[in-house]
Amino acid sequence: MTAPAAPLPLTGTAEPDLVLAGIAKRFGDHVALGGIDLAVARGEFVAIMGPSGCGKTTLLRIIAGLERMDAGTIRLRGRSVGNVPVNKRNVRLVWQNYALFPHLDVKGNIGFGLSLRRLDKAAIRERVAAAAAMVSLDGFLDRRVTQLSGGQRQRVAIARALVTEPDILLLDEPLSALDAHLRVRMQGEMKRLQQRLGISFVYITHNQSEALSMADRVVVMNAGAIEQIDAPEKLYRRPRTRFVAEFVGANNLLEGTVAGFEDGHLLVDGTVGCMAAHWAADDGPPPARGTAVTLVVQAGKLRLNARSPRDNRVQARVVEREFSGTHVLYILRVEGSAGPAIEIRALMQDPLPDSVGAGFFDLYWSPEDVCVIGPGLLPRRIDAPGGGPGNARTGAASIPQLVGEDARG
Amino acid sequence: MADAALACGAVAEPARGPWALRAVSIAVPVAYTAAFFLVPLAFFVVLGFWRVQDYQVVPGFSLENYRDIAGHILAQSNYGIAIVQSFYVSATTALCAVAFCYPLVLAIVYTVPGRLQRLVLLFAVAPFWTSYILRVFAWQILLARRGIINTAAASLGWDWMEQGWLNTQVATRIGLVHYLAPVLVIILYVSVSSIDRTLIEAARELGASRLQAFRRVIWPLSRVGITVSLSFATIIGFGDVLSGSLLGGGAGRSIVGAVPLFSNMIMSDYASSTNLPRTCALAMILVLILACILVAGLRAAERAQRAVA
Repeated sequence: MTAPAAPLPLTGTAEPDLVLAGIAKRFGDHVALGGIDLAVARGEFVAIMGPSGCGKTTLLRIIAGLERMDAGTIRLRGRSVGNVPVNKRNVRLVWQNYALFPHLDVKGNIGFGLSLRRLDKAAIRERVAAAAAMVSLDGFLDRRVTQLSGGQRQRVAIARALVTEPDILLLDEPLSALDAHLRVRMQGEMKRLQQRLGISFVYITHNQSEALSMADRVVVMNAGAIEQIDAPEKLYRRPRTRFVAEFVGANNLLEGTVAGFEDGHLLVDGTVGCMAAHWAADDGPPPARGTAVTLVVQAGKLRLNARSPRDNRVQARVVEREFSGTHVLYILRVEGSAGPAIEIRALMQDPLPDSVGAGFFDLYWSPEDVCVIGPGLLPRRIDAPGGGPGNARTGAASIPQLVGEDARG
Repeated sequence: MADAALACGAVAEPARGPWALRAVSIAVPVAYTAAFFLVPLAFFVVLGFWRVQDYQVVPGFSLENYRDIAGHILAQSNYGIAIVQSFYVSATTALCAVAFCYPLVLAIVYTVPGRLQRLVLLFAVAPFWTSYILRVFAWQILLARRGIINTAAASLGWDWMEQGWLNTQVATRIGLVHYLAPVLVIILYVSVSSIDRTLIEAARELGASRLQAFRRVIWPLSRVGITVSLSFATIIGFGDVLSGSLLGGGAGRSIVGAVPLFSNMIMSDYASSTNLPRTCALAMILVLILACILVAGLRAAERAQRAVA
């Protein structure tokens, strides 16, 4: 489906642990993956995030070797492994339901991978004990796995994978079966473990806060393609496609057409009037007048007071209110001056005072807090390992080239 | 307040259907089991304690039959040796049957695509719906001295295959395995197909070859099904008469010599003697032995189940 990409130039440090180029897979009529390009640097924690059915598990299984891709190449530490069978690749997968062997005890499970090779029994015992200690399971070695709690089983699954010293660890929603409290604790433990070991982690999740808090870079996938790859903060603050803006964080998407450009700010006409959006010089030349764009405003950036005369302002009325502990989410109705009324969301740390929340009130946000999205606007960036901005999915679903420079635009 | 509590208490009982419906739905299987199982069983249990005197059956309670049998255990009629012979034949047949059905089930579960598995299973189980004795007759024809197998072997020039197949232990086993296969395939299929596929993938992913994945994951997790199948096959094989007499010539051949099977002995006893109570006593002993095998099999299966749970 796509021509194999040119090899990624070495960035000066060690070769990337994993390079995927043009991975495509279909099941019958359904296109599971439509050409995936991704590079994972040595020791990097990459999270892959996306809605159910976006292809993230299929991608993981292809990397592990449990599925064969229809097209594309996989290189693990420089070695092409597309044709290497699953049991000969040095990657390990931590399964979503842990896949622990019920007929073996904890040490039997952890040592399973080692026991398949011709290793000295004493050496196996030692390495199993070390792996168990690493995940704080010493003392559990003789228990049957069916007697363990969810968190303990998960740690056995991780120890079992790590004891074989893989090049890269793949994790398929490992924390999804745990309760919220335990999950948060395990997130920290996993991140620390990864940093201590220095192994690359490719971590699948549909939980945003997990991905954003643990990863060095986050990959957002949708319907078999990558929408955006970026460091968590960049991804959160600067979504580059509509899907990412809707999927990550709580954002308001305001449609409009470009009316002009003034003083580093893009002026956009929308149903709520004219809005200003900050436009940085390195985003390229501003779009022409009349271009349809979408302005993305984080729900948490709407304020009751203006901070500068430049701030955008709308008049809103509370329609619904949701309290979620750390903040309150307001669903608001804004009368459109040039079109139908729209609904926006605002996240407030504290509830609105009664005097304000009763009727119409003003909401402000800064043009600096606005992100502009639109087809054809964004330069094609390259997926460089170690924190470069990611592939942007433009209006035409073409595959970016893995070449050193910006090829076009 | 108290009335309300009482009322709540009275209403708190779970809602049930009309008791007549429940009574009928329990009564039907009970009546069926009673009529076709318990009553015949009771019949020969009771009869086993009666005596024969002057060619007349005398009701009452007497242990004479059992004493008689005990006296003949290792001498004259050789009941004891026959029991051992039956054990040997049924145990080895059970092993053969499971050895035949297990690879078949593995093939169905792991190579046949999911939606076709039920169909293939149906074909594997199809013999179940034909008559056992007709199948045995069919084997008699196939295995006869001028039957299909010998004729085919002769035309191919395979002299080693041309021999007297009937009245051998091999023939008995063929008949019994054919008889047992449908049910064993079902039992083993249920067991093997319930093995979590991700466990096999996990084993492969950890570096296991296909053979290692089988030995280390599939086989240990099949043990419960295999234990149940072996017990089942042994029980059926122990009580079987048709394959042994029609295909095997009525006598087992083993380390204890050419001795008839216990089940065959009971049948010939019934046919030849006029002592019905004694035949019933023999049958009672057979039932007790089968019950022991069943209990032992269940305990073994339980143990195997605990090892994987």
